[in-house]
Amino acid sequence: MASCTGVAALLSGRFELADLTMIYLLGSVGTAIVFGRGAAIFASILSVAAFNYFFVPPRFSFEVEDAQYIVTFGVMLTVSVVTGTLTARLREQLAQARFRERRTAALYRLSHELVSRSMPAEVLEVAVGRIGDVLNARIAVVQPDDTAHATVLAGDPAIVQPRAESAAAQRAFETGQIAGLEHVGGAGVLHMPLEAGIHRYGVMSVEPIAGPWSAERFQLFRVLVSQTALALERCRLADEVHAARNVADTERLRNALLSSVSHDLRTPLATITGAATSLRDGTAQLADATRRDLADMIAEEAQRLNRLIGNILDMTRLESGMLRIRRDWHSLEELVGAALVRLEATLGARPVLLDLQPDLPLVSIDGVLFEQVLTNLIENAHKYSADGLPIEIHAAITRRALRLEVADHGPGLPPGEETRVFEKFHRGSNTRAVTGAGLGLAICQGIVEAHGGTISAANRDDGGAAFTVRLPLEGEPPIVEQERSASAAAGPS
Amino acid sequence: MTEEENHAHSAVILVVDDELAIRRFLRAGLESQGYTLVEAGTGQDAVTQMAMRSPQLVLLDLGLPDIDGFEVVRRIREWSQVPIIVLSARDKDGDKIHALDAGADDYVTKPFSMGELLARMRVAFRRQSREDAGDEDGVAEFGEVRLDFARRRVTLAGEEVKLTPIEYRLFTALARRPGRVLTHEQLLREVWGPAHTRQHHYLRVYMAQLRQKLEHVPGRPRFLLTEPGVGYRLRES
Repeated sequence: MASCTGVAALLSGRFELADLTMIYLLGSVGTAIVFGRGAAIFASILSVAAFNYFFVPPRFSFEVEDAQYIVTFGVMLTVSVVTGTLTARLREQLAQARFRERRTAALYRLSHELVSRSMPAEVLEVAVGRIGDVLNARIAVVQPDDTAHATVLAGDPAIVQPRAESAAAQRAFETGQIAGLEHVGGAGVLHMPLEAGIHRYGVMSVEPIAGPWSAERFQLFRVLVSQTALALERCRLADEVHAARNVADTERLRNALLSSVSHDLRTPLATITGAATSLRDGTAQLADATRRDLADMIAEEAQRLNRLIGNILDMTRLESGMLRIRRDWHSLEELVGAALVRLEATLGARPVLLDLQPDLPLVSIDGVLFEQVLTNLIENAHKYSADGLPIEIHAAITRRALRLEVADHGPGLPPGEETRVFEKFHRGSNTRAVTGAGLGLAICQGIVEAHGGTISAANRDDGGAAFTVRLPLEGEPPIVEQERSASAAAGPS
Repeated sequence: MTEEENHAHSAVILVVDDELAIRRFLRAGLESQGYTLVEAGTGQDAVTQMAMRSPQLVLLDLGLPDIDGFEVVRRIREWSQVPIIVLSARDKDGDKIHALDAGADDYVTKPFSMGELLARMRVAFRRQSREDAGDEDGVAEFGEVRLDFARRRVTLAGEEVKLTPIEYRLFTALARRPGRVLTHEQLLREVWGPAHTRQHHYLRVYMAQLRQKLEHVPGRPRFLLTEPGVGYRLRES
């Protein structure tokens, strides 16, 4: 108002008094924009007073010479109050729109961030951070229990440190009602239960850092809390579904295991018992060839039992997470070689086509486990293709990944079996004399996945099945210094 | 009668295993081959029998009820160079390596066939008789590969193969104990020195180079074999 008076004083020589009233009007509109309605009305009254005092003759007195000015004052006051009020209302609406926009944005951001969290702890962490920012408040999420010792799940434990506040949180949790409502309009801690469906997950206690609990802030708080509660509900439901599926899986697995184990263990045991008792009881009558045959059967069936037990142990170890991956830098060629040597007797004269990219770098894997993957895949190719047909092994590095393929020239996989072959206790539907518990490929998958890789099965264009392992390559292989002179050979020294 | 068969017809074998059934079938299998058996059910018993009977070979199970198998190896190695073959359960790589590093000659994984065990025993006896005779400077042959220790020459099908000094040291380390498994640590210590016993990848690189030079199909070796998780073995032809 002082500046209006100043400006008006400067201009008073050159302009009519009526024009000076306009300057005061401008002042009250400005006040309305900046300070709101009350201030605008106050400014209008002050304007009239200042105009009267400074400009209306006699100047520097509240006396009025001409009655005409009384009318001027009346009009000036009315116009000033009306424009001020209108402007202030506009300002309020603008502020409300801004607030709504901010609230929508905050809600959107919160729900967007909550959607990607699957653990309750993560949900709470995100919620505490976001809501704290939006409301400009300190937040704690507490879970009261019977002992009146509230557990702070997230946020700032200091909020519920005072006995009164932890009691209020407890009350909110028990009743499902907001505690601390008397603080709305003032500044104090509000406790709102995190509730969705029939479940109450805890209480969110919020203490504003600055400013009171305005109606808008309170509304926003309620909405954000129910968002958080919904996210917690989603986590719980997902967990329940997962647990239910696990139970079903375990049940199915146990049944499969029992039927498989009882069949697979009993068959070789029956053979062994039969052959051994024949040898014991019928020594005199048995021809040498028969005796030899019986002994072979015992040895073979025992071997089969040994493999089966080994597989079941491996699978159990993989599933229980007891299997530790011990990575070191390995040569793939060496592991392929080790697998082929291990299977020498099994493969016999079957041709093996090796197509390993020359100069394959060392790869960081668990050598023992990976040799087992290779052994299982090669053995599988051997079992499912007729004798004499070649087995192919390809290995190459493409796009920062190791690609390893073991392929056979057998009948291939029946349509639709491409993923089922990796299931535990699954045996090919065209299994004829093929033995095994159906664990080999499941073990391969377990080991490859523990390495962060994938394994897949497909039929080749020219017949036969192909199993492909893809492993992301991590890190740079260590450098092994070459000797200075590769030709400084082992000549006589 | 060769030296080897000579052994077979007179040798005393100490079998250390707490499982009676295992000792029983070993007795049946080995006595029919002409060996004399001494049995021990505990590690303590094994050390005592060792001193009393001085066997020519020890078959040692690692899972003994009283002391660790590799501790038995260590105690025997304090005063005897008798060949020791470890009988180990599958997936006990750590114990196996421990025992080999402590000085055991070889291992067979349970269940094993009698033929497999007898083959390993023959390798161990040969090693013993070679060491007794002190002929370190002979000639070793593996298929078409021929190693002349005295002239430091390696040939493949009659053609000389140029090996780098490290390749040569690695190859001879294996060739001096043909058929016997050498752990990563033993090879690294012998070829690169005691400071490098953790650098297993050195072995992988140099074994690959050796296979490249000496094997027909490096990806399907016939002699330079890998024992996954344990070490390497040069297979006898």
